[in-house]
Amino acid sequence: MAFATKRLGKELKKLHESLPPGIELVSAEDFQDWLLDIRVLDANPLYLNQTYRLKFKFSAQYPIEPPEVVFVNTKDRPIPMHPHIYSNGIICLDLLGSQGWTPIQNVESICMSLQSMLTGNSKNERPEGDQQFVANNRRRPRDIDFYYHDNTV
Amino acid sequence: MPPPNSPVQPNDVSAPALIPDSSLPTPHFREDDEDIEDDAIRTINYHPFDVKEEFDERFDQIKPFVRPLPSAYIEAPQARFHGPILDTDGQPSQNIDTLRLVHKIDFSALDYLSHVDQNLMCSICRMAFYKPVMARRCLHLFCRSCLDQAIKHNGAVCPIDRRSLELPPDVSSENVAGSFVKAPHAIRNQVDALIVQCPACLDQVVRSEVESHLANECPEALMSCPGKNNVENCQYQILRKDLTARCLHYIGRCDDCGEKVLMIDMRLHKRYDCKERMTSCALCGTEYNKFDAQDHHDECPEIEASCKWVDFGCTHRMVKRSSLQSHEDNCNFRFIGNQIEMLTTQMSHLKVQLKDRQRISDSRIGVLESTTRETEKNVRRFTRAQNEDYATLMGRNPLSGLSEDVDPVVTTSDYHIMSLLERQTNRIDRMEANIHEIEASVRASEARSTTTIFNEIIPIKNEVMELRSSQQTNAMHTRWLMQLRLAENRRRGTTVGSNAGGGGESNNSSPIVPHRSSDSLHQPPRL
Repeated sequence: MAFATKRLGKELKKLHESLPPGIELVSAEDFQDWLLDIRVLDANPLYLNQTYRLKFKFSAQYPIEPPEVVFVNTKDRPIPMHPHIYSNGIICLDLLGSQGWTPIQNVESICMSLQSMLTGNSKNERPEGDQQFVANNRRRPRDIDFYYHDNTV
Repeated sequence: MPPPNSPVQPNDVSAPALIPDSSLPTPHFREDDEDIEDDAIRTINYHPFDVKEEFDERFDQIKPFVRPLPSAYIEAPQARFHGPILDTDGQPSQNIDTLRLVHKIDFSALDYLSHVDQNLMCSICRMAFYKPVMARRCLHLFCRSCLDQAIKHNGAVCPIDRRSLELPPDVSSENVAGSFVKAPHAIRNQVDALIVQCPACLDQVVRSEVESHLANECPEALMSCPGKNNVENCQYQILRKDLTARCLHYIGRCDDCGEKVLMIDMRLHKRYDCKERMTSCALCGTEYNKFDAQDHHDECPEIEASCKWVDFGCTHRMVKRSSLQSHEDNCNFRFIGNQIEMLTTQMSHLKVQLKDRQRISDSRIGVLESTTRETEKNVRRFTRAQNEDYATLMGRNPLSGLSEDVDPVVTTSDYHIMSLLERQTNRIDRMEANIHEIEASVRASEARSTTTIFNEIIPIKNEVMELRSSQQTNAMHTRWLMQLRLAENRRRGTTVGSNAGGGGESNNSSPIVPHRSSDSLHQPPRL
């Protein structure tokens, strides 16, 4: 755990010092769960004037293992509309899977990747089989084998 | 029996954070603990580990206070040899080095005190590289352990650009790290020279020396108990600063409260734990910790003390401290006392200064003396040389004995000046000779150049003469031709005089008598 703690401590210190535009640290009480807010900066009509909340869950093997990142739904923080984001907040992004993850990624780079993923999207839709997935899924996001079929969005 | 080692008061910041460590073996006992049977003592003394379980139950309340290990430790420090170390004569070794332990530190958990350049940080752990290794193809650097873990999770690709790490095909999955290419020395030296905080004493240490610092120097680091080398083979560890000549891991009784306490923790017990630690002063009635008795003695208002000016003649001795303050404020000796104190301090200052000055001047004198000696030696050498020269000059036999006694009256300084003069004269002579030489050479070169010029001018002169003569010849020819012409003209004028009046006129005016044409034609012109 010391390894992950040390690394997260460094990241947290950096996040407190400076953050890229559109990313805000909401809470980081310990080195297991962090909450961050992200906004899309350009005038994409799908996400205009919206803020989304991300929940990071770090394992003791972070950064060797990717963190679990999901969108959380609260009163003024909806789940963004995207063909790779399920309505329960689970994100299908290769970066966050064990195949696409590399330990040089960090919280900041994940947030920026998600920002750009939203920015580049123009389809106002959920992934295929969203209803069924949301209804049936009991697994944790990291255990789901996503099929990264579509690299256009 | 109540637990004697109840934790130290948590609100007391000066108290070290100590907790009983259950992982350590139970202390052994000495004969001075009357509760233990004799054979048990022997067993425990000789085999402290074998009988651990048995006695844990009985004496589990009494364990030494052990600080938690700093989090940077990978594992608890270990001795290299677990058994006692004996000298050559079979006696327990007294050498303190035999109590050293091996400290294993997690370098990624250290705090860096020096600034770590961004380029020296591993992109996986975001710390300064520790044992950096290099990807074969893309040359990216990582800590050895970071890359090892990353490979186990993500396969043999570079975590930065996912290019193949090109590990040797025969490498086994357990020993992947062994096949890595080490980073260049320049990088490793830079990260090893970084300053980190010692996890125990919080001092500044060069990173590569942390483990040896903990093993050999750090006062807050653990060492084996000195009892390790004795037959008890005590397996406890103590801080280097608490090191004593012998093992104190035995149970004794606190002489104040009568409780059983491990001797090693007696001081802590008396200070923070002993029921009888507080006492009230017999004189002033104030409660104080026995541990701080000296402090109280120095401030108790009821203790008799003397006026602070007693050395200067005040007779106010052995009165209560409470009344002393008012006396000292009015003591007649306070003026003189202050003055004397001031003077004493000034005097000591001056003494120090004087000593400094004296040291400086002594060294200066030494330097001067040595230079004087040197000069004298030089002068003597000069004189001798001069005398020898003189002797040779006068055609005398330059016997050293004679030449030295040439003029015994002359002092060394005169000799020096004379030798200087001599040297100057010599130099001037030499210069004069040089000048003469130069003059001669100038003259010679002048002559040489004149002759060269002459030699060159002579053919030119000859040519000029030739030219002149040929020019005269030409002039003569011209004159002769002119005369010939004139004569012809005249002759023509006389034959056709009636026809041309002008011609007769010019003939009359010409006074020249014509040569005979035969003469002038056939004779060569004179030069």
